[in-house]
Amino acid sequence: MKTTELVKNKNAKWLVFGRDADKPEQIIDTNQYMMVTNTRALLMDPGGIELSAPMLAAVLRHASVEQVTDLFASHQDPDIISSLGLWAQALPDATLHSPWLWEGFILHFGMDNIQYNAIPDEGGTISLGSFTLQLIPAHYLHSSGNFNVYDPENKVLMSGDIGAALEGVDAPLFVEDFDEHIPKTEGFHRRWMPSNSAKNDWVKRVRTLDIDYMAPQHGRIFTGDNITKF
Amino acid sequence: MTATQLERIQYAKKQFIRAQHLGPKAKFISSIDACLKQTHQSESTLIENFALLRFELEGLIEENRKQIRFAAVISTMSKFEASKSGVFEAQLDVIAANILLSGNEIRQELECAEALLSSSNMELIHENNRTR
Repeated sequence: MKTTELVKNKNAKWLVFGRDADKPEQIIDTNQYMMVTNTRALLMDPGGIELSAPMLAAVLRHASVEQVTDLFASHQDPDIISSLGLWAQALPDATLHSPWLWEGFILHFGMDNIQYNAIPDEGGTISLGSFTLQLIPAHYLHSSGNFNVYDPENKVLMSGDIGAALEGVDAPLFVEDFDEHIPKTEGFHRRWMPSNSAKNDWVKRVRTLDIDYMAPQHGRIFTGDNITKF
Repeated sequence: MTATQLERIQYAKKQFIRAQHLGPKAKFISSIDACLKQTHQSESTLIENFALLRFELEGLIEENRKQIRFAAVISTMSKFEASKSGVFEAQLDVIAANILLSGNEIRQELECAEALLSSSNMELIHENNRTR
């Protein structure tokens, strides 16, 4: 499991975990994200059950289990949150922020010891020490109850499956050639996200945000002009 | 419920141990020591509970076996009484045959349950031996 620092300043850092060459071959590669402040950490889309041990080992290089106070699951898919049972045993006092729509479903992964913060359809916020992160609605992209996380201070949008591409573990972490990359994203954005009205709604919503990094759950991260092009 | 909890705890224990192997030099690796200790304790408690529940279940199965044996005796007695009851003989024969048939069907189900219990117990023993 590779770890890359996306943003770092004196109060916080954003990390991306992924490109795990040791994962079982048949499962798709995923990006997991963690924002670490001086006292707390938020783990976003912490991944599937198959990755739980390497993810835990990677997280513990940057934060203790006591420091990880918040989890976020953009939606209910197994590659997003089926590792929840392990986090429930590891984290002594954590809250999972996830769409209200999926509460009864996500509980199937097992979450003793973890509180569920049901995010309403219109979105909300997560307070992480002095930081306030925004939960941006992204319904039907692709899940019917789905959110992105936006950090206005560090200008990072964790976009879940939006902007995602299915690629191998040796793919670069950042989009270099936009035109060359876009065909790789078509599978997600045509088959799994067929609604143009949902896509246009989302575009309208995020166009107002100041974003330096658009970080999807699969594939490469968009930066600079590539975000506007997307 | 106990079996599900046990399965989850044993899975978590395995993953904690694996994480320790994968990141022995991770700055905060020792923060899972308490989790590992807790999973060990929970696992022991759940194994004890599971063994107790299994023991109780075996007792219930044995009790059912006894009832079936009684049913077979009643069926035989009914047949004997039927032979002396004149006009009711045919009806009593049917009742006796039904008792025997139902008893046999229940016995088959119990044997399946016992076989399952025996295999799940063996898996539990193997699992404990592996993780110790």
